[in-house]
Amino acid sequence: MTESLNRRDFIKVMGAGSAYILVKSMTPLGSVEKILKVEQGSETASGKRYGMVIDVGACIGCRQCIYACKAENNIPNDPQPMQWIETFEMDQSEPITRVFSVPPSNSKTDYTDSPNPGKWYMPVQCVHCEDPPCVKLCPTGATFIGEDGIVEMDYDKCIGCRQCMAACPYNARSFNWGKPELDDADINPLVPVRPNGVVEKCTFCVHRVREGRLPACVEACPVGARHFGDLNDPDSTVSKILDKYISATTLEEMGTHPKLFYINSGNKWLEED
Amino acid sequence: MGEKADRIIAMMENTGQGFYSVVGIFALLMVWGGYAWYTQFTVGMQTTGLNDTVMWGLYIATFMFMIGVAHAGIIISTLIRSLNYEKLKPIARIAEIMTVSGLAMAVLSVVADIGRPDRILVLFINLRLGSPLAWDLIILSLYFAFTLFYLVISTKHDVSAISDRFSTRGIIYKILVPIQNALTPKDEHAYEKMLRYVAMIMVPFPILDSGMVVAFIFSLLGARPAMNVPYIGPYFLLTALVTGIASIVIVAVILAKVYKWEDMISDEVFATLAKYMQVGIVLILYFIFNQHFTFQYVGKPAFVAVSDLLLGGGAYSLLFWEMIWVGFILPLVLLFMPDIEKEMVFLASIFAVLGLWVNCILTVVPALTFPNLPFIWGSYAPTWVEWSIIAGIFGLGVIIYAVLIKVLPPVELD
Repeated sequence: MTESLNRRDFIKVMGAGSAYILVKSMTPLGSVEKILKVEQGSETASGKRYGMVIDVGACIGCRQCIYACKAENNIPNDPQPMQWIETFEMDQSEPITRVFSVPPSNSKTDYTDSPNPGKWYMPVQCVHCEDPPCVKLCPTGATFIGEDGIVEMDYDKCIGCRQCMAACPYNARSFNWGKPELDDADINPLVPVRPNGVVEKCTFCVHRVREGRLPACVEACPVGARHFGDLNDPDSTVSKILDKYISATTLEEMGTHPKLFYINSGNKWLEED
Repeated sequence: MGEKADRIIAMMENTGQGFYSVVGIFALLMVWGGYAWYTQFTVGMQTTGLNDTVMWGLYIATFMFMIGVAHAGIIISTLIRSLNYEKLKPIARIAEIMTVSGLAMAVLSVVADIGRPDRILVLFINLRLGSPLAWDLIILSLYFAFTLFYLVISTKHDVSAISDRFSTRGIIYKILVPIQNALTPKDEHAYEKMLRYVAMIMVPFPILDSGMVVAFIFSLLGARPAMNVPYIGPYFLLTALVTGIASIVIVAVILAKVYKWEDMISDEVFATLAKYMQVGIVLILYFIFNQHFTFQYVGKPAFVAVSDLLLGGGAYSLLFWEMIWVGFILPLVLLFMPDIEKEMVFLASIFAVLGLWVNCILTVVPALTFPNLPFIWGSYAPTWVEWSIIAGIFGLGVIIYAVLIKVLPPVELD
């Protein structure tokens, strides 16, 4: 009988203990919010908030950004070709807002020469959301918001569950479906070579921009359609461009608040012909 | 102990050729699946049909499905304890053992889906509580722990009654009996009370699992049309419960036939389960109708596009209509036949289980094929590696089940 009483006391103590921990962890409600929300806004650790502007009125669809990105960031072609940037050839009749909500039938990525008459070009990549669903859902914190608002990857923490890919509305993430094959001579030592089975994506060339250089795609663009800089600094190129032009972000209805903006600085490229 | 108990013990003692050949076949499946998994792990997930657009497929769908199978034990014990369906008692243990093997299959399906299963420790060290995957991990671990705990304490009398009858297996009982005695009170009244309380604590688990955390993996994907909707939780719960009932019917009919337990597990048991399946399948059809009717009438373009994939000649419409007719309506017709016999319930359950599994696949895949930006639509066809791993996991589940019914009496002895 004493034994069962002891057990009862033990269960009572355990119950009270877990109830205490439960209540403690839930109050104040702020701590719950801390778990569920990804903290981000215009305030960042370093005070900087990097963003990019792409001028679809200038883009000629030459894919130089894609090639520069692949070379800079050790993006493999084997065992499966991978890209962090993709360019769409869009029909001139397609307004920019409709493009972002319904897949238009006339767009394609496999065009062979550009620019073509009656077409305009739209590069897409990771938009580095202010409220990124990938960071929200990642179970290990392998993807996180860096000190300057860049959504980064820690390849050592990624377990390859692909929850972030399912969460990303922009299809911006790629999975390493096999071990990446790269020539040693081509490897950029500043960027880690990814192992098999992890997810990767555009990093805004974090290794370059933190040293004051521009991302590889911005540097490579022959028509100056890409601009990069600190959105928190009113005198930066991007801030000035965004002041001057009407801009749009992709899939605004997802509530992600991208830091990649699109503007049209003039005519769509080929209308000038 | 009566004649019934002797028959159960005889069934546990006499392991015939049939048992070994069944276990052998499923062991071969398991070895084959293990080889496929080794291939996937070493060569990478390029061996699967998954790709950057449709990044989840058969594995995640099977995970959803197996969670439903794992609800078997809870459904039966809830019906027995809260609704006093005493006549279901003979299949209680059969269902509880299914929970163990169902959960094992569910967990393995997720492990098969993960690109870096070798980093499981990394997951535990860095677990972020804000991630739905973390909630799944916590709730499923609790579920597994409670299921094992309940199985251990509820078999106390049975195990102590048979512990001296076996030599080799006796080693297991030598470990099990002291654990059972330490965990449970000696007083019979207090013991019954404890069993009742533990069973009651487990009642909400299907809601927490299928109805919440498993559904959250999909419904919290804001990017995916037809997934990011609030009814996913209740709908998953419903399909999981029907999956649980249908799979108990299948296993119970097979065991009753093979071991000639038809006098213990009466036809009334199956008639009762058939009634629950009728209601369940009608509700599933009601959900599916309402979902597609809303999408088609006023849905956002993305929702209409995904709905079209299923209904109107899209890539998945053949599978969808097969699921509706063969997976749901055919079993419903069979279940509504007058004076239904258990063979008919068994047949209906087979069709329903297949339909429910296809339903899981159709919940995961079509919504993922939709690209929000003007990318081309995704496509997905499972490869031999995926089918083999799934077959291997199923083989392991059957073996776990077969071993457990030889260790713990599958029907209560008293």
